[in-house]
Amino acid sequence: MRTRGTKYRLAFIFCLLPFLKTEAQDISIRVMSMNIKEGASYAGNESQPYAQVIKEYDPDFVCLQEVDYKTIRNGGKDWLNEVAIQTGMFPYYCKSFTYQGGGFGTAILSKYPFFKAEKTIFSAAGTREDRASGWVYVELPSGSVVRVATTHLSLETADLTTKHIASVNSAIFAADSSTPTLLIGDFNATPDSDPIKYAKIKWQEIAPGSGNTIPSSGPNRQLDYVMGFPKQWSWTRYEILAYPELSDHCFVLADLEFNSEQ
Amino acid sequence: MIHNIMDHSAAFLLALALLGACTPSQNPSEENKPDPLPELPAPSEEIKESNVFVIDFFSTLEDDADFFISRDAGVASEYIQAQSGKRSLVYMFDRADYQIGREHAATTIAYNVGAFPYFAQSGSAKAEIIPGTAMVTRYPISDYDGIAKDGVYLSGCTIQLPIALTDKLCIATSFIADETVAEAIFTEKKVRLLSDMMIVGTVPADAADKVQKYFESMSLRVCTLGSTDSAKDLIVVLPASYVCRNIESGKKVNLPYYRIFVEKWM
Repeated sequence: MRTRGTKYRLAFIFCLLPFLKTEAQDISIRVMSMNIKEGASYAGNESQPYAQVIKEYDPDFVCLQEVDYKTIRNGGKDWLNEVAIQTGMFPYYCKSFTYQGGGFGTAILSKYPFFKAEKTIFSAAGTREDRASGWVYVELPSGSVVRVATTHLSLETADLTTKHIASVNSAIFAADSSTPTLLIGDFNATPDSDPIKYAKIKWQEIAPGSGNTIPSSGPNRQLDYVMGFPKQWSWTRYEILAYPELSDHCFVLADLEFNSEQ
Repeated sequence: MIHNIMDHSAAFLLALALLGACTPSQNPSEENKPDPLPELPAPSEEIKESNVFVIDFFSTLEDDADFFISRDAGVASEYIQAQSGKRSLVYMFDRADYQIGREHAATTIAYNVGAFPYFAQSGSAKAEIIPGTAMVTRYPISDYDGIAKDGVYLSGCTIQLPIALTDKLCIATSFIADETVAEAIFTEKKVRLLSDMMIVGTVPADAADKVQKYFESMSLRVCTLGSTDSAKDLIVVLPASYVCRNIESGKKVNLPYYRIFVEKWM
């Protein structure tokens, strides 16, 4: 039997619903990670085969590593923009360092326009090259805002890889530690390594133990990851995609959901 | 029955009271208004060309749909490639709208001219076609700053200015629908707007006066340009250390544009 008190409580909750809804961040997106190996060298630096894979899976975001921008070896082409044009996505290029007259770095392709983007470069004694991580802020059709980051961590020693993660964390969270965020890419570390253990202090590993990602001809270890922040992400699909003709790394595909009320 | 109605009414009134209790008693935007600074210092009358930079803003200044529906991105590319003298730091294309899954004019132009594309949305991503401004720049951008909050949008490229008084400046764009939007932008970006961010955007012609007065009251320099029959005015908002020296209008085939000359004068 309902009491008058119950009615008041129901009325109170009913009145708060619009406010609760505004605060909630419900996100549902598909992401891909693609280390394209030395500026797409396996495919003769062509963009079309990679664009074809992207179109086949229709992701909202693609996080790319080892992207050449107008280098001698890729024939001076703007590979990223070519893929953007073919897929109808929007590009953000993060140059790590000048290379062969152009650039080498990471990149993001986004199905939706991004209203803000930043990058950070990790440069430390003992590393053989600088490495850029970058991220974009996107307002999704649902109205929620998500931040998606691409990274390619240093590989010289576990200590340097761990320092690199710490550096990326500092840059990403310095001014914003509330927006739901994904960090995607080539971590150059295996699941049981210290760098991944360290990364998981802050980040939630998506689909842990789901499969090895390298070499693409017969994967025997995992180097590529999708990590989420805060630790409220769930996944409905996680696939390792092997295209040995396109890269030494397998690509990673994940359908992700974020619910702030968890 | 009467009891039942009274019960419902009581619950409704209580809910209204609770709603009232949750509403801030003061307008929060008023709390965010800083005290306006004293009148801005007048910039030097002499123009130092070595401190002048240019931004090209393509627009019909009409409230029409996608700029490139009836215009060719190839013509825009030709204009950029053929430009001599002072080249624009950023080429902006007002209402070069974004259609999800379709090749965007910014990527096409950037690819043609060897530059980097950006897109500043001015409307929600819910729509199939997202209104906004395409930006193309030859500068690789590490800091693309922006706002997308409660229907207020602004985005811009931070560039190391190639001028004698070297400095970094975020060159942003926005459709400033009215004074409330201007206030929301200032509230979000006041530190940058007062020091290292400028806006080149549009404002409805009938709101231009109020928007200009609002920004000026916040110690920013503002200039607007419009005509009696255009739906929108061009608006340029600058920190006090910059001044808009001139706006030239022109046309490349059927692409109307405005060349905005800005000087960092102190």
